Amino acid sequence: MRSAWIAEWIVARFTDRKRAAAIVGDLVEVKAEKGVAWFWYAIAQVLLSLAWRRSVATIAAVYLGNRISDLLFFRLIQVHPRHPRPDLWVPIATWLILPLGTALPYAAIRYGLRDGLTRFAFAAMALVTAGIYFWWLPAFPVMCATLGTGVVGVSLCNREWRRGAAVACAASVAGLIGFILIGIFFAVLEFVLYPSLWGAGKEFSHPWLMWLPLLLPLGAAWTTTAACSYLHRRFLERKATELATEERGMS
Amino acid sequence: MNPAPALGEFEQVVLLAILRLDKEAYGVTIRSEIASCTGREPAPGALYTTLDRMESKGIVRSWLGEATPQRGGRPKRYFAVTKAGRAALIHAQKSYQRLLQGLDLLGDANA
Repeated sequence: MRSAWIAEWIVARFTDRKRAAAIVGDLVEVKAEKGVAWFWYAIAQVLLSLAWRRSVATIAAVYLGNRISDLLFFRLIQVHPRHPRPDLWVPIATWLILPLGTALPYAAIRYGLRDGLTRFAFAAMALVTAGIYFWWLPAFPVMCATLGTGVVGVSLCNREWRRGAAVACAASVAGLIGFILIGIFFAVLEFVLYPSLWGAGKEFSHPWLMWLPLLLPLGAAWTTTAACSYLHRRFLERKATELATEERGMS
Repeated sequence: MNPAPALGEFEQVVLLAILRLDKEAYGVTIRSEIASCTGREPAPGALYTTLDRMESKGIVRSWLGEATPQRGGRPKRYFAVTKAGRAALIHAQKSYQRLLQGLDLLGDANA
């Protein structure tokens, strides 16, 4: 029985506790007939099925999120100083690139291309990218306003898309807050550990400090993907009560 | 009204097994029903992720049943096909039937 509790604890890391208990209960029921080796093999299969999509999505989100944000951010700072304009969208785009660029591949792999979160993240990312590449066009403000209104309008007309838009916005804000908080934490940590040293000399004396900036995007990616996962489960997956209501509506 | 959600082959197999089992459909019985009808025992991981996916699509619904000593005091998770799931299954099976029309695949020649 001890092995069943261990298995349940492990499975509960990848799904909710009630579901984990039911899955392990099913396998315990068959274990008497098939043996302990089969039980653990089945647990490994369940874990692989539950975790592979999330694992691949997280790795892709970290890698692609950073690649996309590097590409767009450098494009933004290359173009912007030549044509300095105090447009509102420039700081907004700068802050949204990393969390949106992380949320988009994560949602696309984990929940599929038809999911409300993926669709809104894709539309918002397309708008930000278009803004970064074509902001200098005279027609851009009109084009941007039209596309933005279109995205918001389409998002409002369907419940799933509305929720997808809300989840994408909330996850992006969570990612941004995570990025800022981790940045502040590292700055304070550096100051507390080595208060008298500054700049390159500090990194030369303590080379491990050079790894800290790498942890920033990782932390932002973790915050964004965790927020996506939680909010998607909370708002976009159908609950038993919603299904019962739909059933009543159909009959 | 939303169109019926598209169903994969394994999803159809699981839905049919749930319908055959009626009120006794939970992980163990669904697996054994599929194994006895198709001769293939589905991997536990594939079955549970398919059931989760179908529940999030609104094709099946689930509820927790009684906990038994045989299961170490853990509850059974029972499944039932929703109206949307039944409609999707009928739509998929009608498509198969249309494709089979004019073919003698199930006739005496191939029996």
